[in-house]
Amino acid sequence: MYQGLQPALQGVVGQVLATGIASAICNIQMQDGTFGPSGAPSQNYVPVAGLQGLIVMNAPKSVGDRVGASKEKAVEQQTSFDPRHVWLAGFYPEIVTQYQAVVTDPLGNTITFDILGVEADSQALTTRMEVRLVGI
Amino acid sequence: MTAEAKLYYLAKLNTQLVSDLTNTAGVFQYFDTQLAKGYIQPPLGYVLRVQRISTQWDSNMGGTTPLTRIRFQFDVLDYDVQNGRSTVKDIIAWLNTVDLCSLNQFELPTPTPGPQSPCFILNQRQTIKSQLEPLVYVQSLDARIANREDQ
Repeated sequence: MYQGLQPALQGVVGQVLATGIASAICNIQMQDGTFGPSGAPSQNYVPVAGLQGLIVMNAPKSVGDRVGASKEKAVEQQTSFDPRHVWLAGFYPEIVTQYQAVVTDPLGNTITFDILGVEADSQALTTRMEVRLVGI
Repeated sequence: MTAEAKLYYLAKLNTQLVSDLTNTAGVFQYFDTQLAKGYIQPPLGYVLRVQRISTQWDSNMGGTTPLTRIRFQFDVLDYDVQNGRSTVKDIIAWLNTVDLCSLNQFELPTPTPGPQSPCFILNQRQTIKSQLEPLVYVQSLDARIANREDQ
């Protein structure tokens, strides 16, 4: 009798989705590639085809009982960092760090994140991103 | 009256700077020393931050005199790089009217002739706040401004 884990692994994503914890929606955007009058890159972002409406879980990034968010106080400004761990219920190797992630939570709040890192699992089932919200 | 307070007062009298730096909520986004939190929000945002970098006191045989020469750094933070450069040009034009050694220009209307102790533009450069997404362009302007500390 086959005793490998493969059948169980295939069902993991479905089981996680069944719990309802992946309750956010993510849209991936990229810069539109245009340049301003001085040659500076445009700050306009456009949706990436095929990477819209992704089901994700947007969780705080924390290790142990430490709060992941932090603040750096300087003479010039106070910079706050809010790192998040976003789990995507699917395999999306097209996502690269040049893109940005626009995540909408179940209450309808939308936040745009800088993608710091993105990686897919070995079984080509899921993707996860480290994103960060920075404010000054 | 400190030099910072004089500069802020005079900046609020300059219609071009008021136009450049006032946001849609009506806040004049000129901040002394530290950028107030929350005024740079993507995708649009622009603020002016004014910092005193150093102060040189004049002195004579009797000790220090009330005349100081202060190096100020004006940082314009703007998501739109061209808009930031345009604001810097307006700041330079405004500094050409600023005189912190005379009380005359604190009267309205501002009298002529122009300033007797002109401001010296020392340096202009560009940096970015790369942590932000999208990043914010910073135009920095250094100026040496003479000030009468007793006025």
